[in-house]
Amino acid sequence: MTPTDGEVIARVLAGDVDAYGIIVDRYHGRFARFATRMLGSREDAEEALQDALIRAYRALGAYQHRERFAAWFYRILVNRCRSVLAQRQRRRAVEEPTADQDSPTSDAGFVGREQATWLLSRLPADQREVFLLRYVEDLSYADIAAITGVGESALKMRVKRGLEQLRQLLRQGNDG
Amino acid sequence: MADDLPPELEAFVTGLRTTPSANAALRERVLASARGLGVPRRSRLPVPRSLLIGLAAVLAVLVLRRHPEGRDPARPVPFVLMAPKAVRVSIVGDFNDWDQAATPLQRAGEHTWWVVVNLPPGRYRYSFVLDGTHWVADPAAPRAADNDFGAESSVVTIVGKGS
Repeated sequence: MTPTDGEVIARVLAGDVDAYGIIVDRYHGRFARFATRMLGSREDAEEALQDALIRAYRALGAYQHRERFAAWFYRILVNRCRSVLAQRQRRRAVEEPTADQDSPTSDAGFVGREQATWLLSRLPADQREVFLLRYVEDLSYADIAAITGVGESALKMRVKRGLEQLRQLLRQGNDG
Repeated sequence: MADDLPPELEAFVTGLRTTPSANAALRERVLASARGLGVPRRSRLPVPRSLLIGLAAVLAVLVLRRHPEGRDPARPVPFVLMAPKAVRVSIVGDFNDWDQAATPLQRAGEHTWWVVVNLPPGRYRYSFVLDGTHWVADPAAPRAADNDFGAESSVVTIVGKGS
């Protein structure tokens, strides 16, 4: 029988450190997906995820709601991704501005993963964050509010703006 | 798929849903770090609030007195918030991995909440969380300049001896 998150965490706290690997295996796919889509770079995503997993491990003993590991971990990961983006922004501020990245071309329109990733990168980070949590990670607005610290009405506004922008980009891509 | 997703974006979202394959190297690096860190320390059992406040005060005095030469120890940093309508208040930030359960504030009087956190020198972003859902910045501290996500947060900088 598959152990619950709470049971796995209890094993870790009882001294079975390697049991944390069960948590890593269980959630790696969705957390790596979120970080990769959010940061647009597999290397940065891997670093952010590794850092977040180690931070979560250190804080396991203090975390009370052990069956809600994923929701708690999203909060840590979201903040690591924000830090990476903020560092990038600071770096860009002192570097020469780069030319706008061209969109990947495709005869089939914007349906492939590469095109989808590029399209997503055109959204402002705050809209991209909530879009991913809502539509790719399938979280409720209440959960996203708890993860991001942003009120539900503000989140819905961001989603609305993000959807509008994506529709516009899709139209441009398909027309072009 | 969320039912409020416009149909014309379904193919786009499907393209984003593929999950990266398992990463054995990352798993091993995380477990190696975990082994190096040892078993995480459990949080303390609940104790009476008055005892907690007393302990915090004693700890703050001890840390201030034991200020060894040539080292930058953690400093007791008090955080205070006026939130008369809140039922519970916690502080989340870089120092507790944004865990709402890690650092609850204690009520001090009718309107005021407070907690003392020991922080080594550094720059920390943080927010107060009221009743588990409402994030507010600390009105007594500078706002985080790199916060562009709409969640209210503040910055506290603990200056080291060498700073």
